[in-house]
Amino acid sequence: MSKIEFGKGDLAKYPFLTEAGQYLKELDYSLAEFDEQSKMHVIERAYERIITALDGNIYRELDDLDTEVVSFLIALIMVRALGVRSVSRKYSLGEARRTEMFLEQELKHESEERMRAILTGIFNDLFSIDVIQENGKFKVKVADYLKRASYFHDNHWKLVNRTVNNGFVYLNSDETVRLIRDELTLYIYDKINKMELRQLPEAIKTKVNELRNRVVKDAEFKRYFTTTKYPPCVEHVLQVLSKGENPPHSARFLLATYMLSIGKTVDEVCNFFEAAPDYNERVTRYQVEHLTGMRGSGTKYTCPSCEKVASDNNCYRTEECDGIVNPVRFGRGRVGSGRAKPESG
Amino acid sequence: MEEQSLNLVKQSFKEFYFKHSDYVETPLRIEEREFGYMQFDNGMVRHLSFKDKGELNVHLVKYIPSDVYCSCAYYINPTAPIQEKIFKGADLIFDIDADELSLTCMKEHEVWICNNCGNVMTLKQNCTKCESVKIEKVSLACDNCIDAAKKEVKKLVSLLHEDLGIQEKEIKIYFSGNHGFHLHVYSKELEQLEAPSRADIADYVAGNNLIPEAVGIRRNSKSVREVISRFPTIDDIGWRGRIARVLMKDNKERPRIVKRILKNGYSQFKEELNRIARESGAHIDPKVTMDIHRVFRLQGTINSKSGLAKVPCNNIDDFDPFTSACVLAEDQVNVHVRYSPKFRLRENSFGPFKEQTIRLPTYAAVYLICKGLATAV
Ligand code: SF4
Ligand SMILES: [Zn+2]
Ligand SMILES: [Zn+2]
Repeated sequence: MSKIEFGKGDLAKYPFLTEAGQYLKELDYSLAEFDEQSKMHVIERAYERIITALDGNIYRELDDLDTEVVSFLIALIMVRALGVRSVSRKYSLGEARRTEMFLEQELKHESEERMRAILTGIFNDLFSIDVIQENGKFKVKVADYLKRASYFHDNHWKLVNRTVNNGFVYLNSDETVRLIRDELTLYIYDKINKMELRQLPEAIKTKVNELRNRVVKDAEFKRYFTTTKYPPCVEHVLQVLSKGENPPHSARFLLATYMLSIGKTVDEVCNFFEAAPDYNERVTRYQVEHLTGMRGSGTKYTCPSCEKVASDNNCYRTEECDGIVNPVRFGRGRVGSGRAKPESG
Repeated sequence: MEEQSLNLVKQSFKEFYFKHSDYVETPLRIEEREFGYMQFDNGMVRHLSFKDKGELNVHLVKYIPSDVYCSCAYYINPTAPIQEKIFKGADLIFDIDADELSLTCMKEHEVWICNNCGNVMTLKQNCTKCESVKIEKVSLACDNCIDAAKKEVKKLVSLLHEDLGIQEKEIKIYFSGNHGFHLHVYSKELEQLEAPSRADIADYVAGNNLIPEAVGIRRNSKSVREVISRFPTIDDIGWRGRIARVLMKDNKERPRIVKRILKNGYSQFKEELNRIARESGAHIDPKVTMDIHRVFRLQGTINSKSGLAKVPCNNIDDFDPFTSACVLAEDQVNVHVRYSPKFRLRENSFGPFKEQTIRLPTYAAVYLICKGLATAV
């Protein structure tokens, strides 16, 4: 099948498409130009995109092509420069939700040809999922469906509650779009991490600082910066992860169960694993939920004892470990009671 | 098992693996599989790999395992510890066991054995000889059990084929060597799926977790007209059609059925729906299907719970496990049978027996010894 070109107007809606990058090259933007007053509005727009996403909202503006495509790219640069992973994730999710909104509208109202452009250009090219139209409905292969929907929570997504026939699962337009949300998010997240940070113009640097102040003031993010003292074994896993290496299974298990038992949420625990080279959001989330007993057998897993941690070769005992038998007791003395106090902010 | 019985069983297994190595199937992509086996007296050995059938056969004759297993998964390093094997994919597998079907014939052929003293009882109770509480159920499947299991196999095959689009040539059916059947699905598209997706498939074929919303009934549904627009017809595809065909014979009945459902309410319908779905679905063991790292009984090897082999059933209707899977020798041997209901192997009917020493063909003697009902003398 020949590739269907997206029109320029589409790029404002889908600025992550490779065509958008080419368009920029044609325009020959250079970053230095952003110190000029005339470009300030684009930087402001980029900032707005990020803030909207961080507030959990969808950025709905759809102005001219230049503003949308360029502000998207500047936003990627700013988020990359900020270097706070949780912000990168939230921003990616925000952009994915925006895309979802446009896709939903289009799959409901657009012409056959337009629809085909989207199904081919986004679903197939970016995420290798074949979506077939059939009498106003959409259908995808069972395997393509399960790889995604088996990780969604709602019963409504369980295969048994779908119409399934001859190897295909039937979906309406909104459901079809929802299926790729995680991949869209990852795709944008990946774009952020691939952004090159050469010499940033002052105007962008200033805006990044503004963003940093705002984000750090935000109580929710503050927690990520507060360095709590973790036991040496847990610190070690975090170090391995921060070097971008894959810790062994036993170490991941230790990290996850430790963090859950000191009161971290599933989200927070998943965040720790983001840096791992083999990171896969759906699978990680599923596994962490499994540990909490939300999934599968319902068994709640607790943090392994120091003895077990040592036998797995994950113990890095220091003086501060004195006398404890389980990493969760680290820093809380030999005896004591209650759950970990929330970290002070 | 005491020594003399153990020797008899081992000898008969050895002869089988020696003379009939052609029974043992070479699994697809053998070099990417993990093998494991159970020893008669020494526990489980895992993380083995064989590069071809010859290597595997030599191993079987040399070690005479009581049971032989092979991973449903394909690995880069099949012999590494589990975290380092690196999963490449796995066949989709299903396990159907007649013992789990709550059949009424069960009480005619199930007995309880004391793990402590070997006493055989017809009722579930503490041991009448030594008062031990450690008793175990043993069942000698009958033709009715096998027929019931076959029905489940057929339901499963049609769900896999019609709904999930799996070609019949991608499905291999085996008698498990005891009371049931194993289905192996070889599908390039499905082999990549991880455990949660396999759990989803298991629920699909079993009809588990179906919600009333899937057939248009919502918690706050009141208007018959509104519900009818979403309610399935008997011509619908997938579970919706399957449910509709149980609820009614004719689409003209829809308004009446919907009225009844709305009158009785959401919760009651939910129960009814689950009952219908469980009956229309296939009774499988979902844990087997979900577990991608499982080692599963190898095709063509003997099951030590019965001395019968896991063998292919190419034509499920005509398949008779008591003939096809009964692969051990015929030579007569003496055994003491503590108790046995009537059973059939090949063309012969045996029993019932009670505390008697008799001469039986090896295959029947081993069958009773493996079930824990007899000892070699
Ligand atoms: S002693 Fe316990 S807490 Fe300390 S490093 Fe070892 S396992 Fe961790
Ligand atoms: Zn006893
Ligand atoms: Zn029976």
